[in-house]
Amino acid sequence: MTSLHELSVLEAGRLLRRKELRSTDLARHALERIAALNSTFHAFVLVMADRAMAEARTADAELAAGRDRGPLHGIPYALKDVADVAGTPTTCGSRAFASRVAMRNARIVDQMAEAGAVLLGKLATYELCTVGPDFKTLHPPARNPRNVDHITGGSSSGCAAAVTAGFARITIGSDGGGSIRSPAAYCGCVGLKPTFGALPLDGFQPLSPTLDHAGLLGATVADVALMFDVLTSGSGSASIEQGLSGLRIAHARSWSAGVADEPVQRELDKAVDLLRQHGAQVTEIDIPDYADYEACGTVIIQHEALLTHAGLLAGESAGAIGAMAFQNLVTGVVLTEDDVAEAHRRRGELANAIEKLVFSQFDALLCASTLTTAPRFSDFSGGAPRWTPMRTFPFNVTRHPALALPSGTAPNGLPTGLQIAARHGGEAMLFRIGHAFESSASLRFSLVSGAPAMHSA
Amino acid sequence: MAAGGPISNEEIDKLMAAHGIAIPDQLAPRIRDACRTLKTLALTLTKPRVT
Repeated sequence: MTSLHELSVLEAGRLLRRKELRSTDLARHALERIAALNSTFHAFVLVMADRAMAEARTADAELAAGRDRGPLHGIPYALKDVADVAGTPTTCGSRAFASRVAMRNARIVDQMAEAGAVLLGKLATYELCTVGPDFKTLHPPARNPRNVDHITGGSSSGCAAAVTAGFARITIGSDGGGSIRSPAAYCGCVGLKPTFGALPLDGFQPLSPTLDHAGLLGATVADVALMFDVLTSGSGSASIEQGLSGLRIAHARSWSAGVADEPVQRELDKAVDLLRQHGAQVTEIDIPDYADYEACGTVIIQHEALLTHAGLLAGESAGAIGAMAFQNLVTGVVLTEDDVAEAHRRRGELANAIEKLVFSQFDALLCASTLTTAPRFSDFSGGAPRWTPMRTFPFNVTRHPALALPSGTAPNGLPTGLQIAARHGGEAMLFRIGHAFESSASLRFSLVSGAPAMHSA
Repeated sequence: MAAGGPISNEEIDKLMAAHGIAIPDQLAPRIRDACRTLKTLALTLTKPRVT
């Protein structure tokens, strides 16, 4: 028998409309699960139980009265604690912002309310969307539900943990260099960084305004596609069953071959075979080095992060920032105007290179998402911030949409991941390829009850 | 910065002060290393390359 937290958004919606399920049932089940397991996974930093039950009752009453707000009506969701919800703190995981209460909702929160979705609460983030895990910040770091000795990745750490733990089928996060896609890869769920600006960032704490994207994490491609459609008035979810026949997919194998852990590369290569078996033409291509994108993105993000938090870093509250985030934020002081101008010039070149080499000839680009499975917490015991090896930054630099999804399971029981990018505005193509892969790879997303739970049929 | 050499501790400290940022002593070595790494990365962007 399917438990309520295992219902897809579409399935739950059908049952709600047939009056076989109530939104209050979904919300109560989620809240009970959070109450039982959040102390293990630390996904939520604020649970809004009363509010959620009130919203669920309203959703049920509206449906009973014949008012149907669409696919998310009555569906519970949760939100990274960097987006404002009026009357509640937006802490960004920092003691420096611990008492900062939002005056109004982020625009995306209003959109979700208009769609009838039920807000369960706010989710853990690496401090100020920078680096982690740091045990000395406002909240304990989220733990990977596949194995709690391992990190979730970040900064949208609570989003991935909440989805994987079965707390919320869909969540909202943000991504300045991979902050949605690396947690999705490490935890084994689906993460979408859409085209720059496709989802509104109004009411989000910024880090790097020219690289930041609002985005989504969910249990399956179909869940994420449906949520994206609702938020953008799109229709990509309607075409996810079209299959792969005739599609041309470029493969940036050079970004991972020889540097990725063997299980990650093996599953990526198996994914190429599988996409071909299902009718796609996959071609390995020459593409600028990943290091070029990372250097360009790093200079821009460190420059903009310093500007964003200049007042905080120079003010009386600077001492409230955790050591990892503080160290990360201040490094930008060494960058000159020429350094930053050069990074932006190079950014244009690299975006043009992707357009010319990839999207003028191919429907999508396939590459790794992270190069390893989730590291252990003990790997970070020195307290120094460090980047985990990822291949996510290029699409923040170029602003193309990118989808991270599980590719398989490594011998250590942790998920491996892959990433698909598409043309600007090409989210429907990501959903189509991602859904076809997810289905044909027989990667059955399963939720954690204790043991690692990514099964390959 | 000395021509061709890495940025010095003194230069980093001066830049921090210019931004009004006070670095705790225990974090200073790590922050200076991170600053040097970032500056080196920035300088790689100016090298000629083929795309």
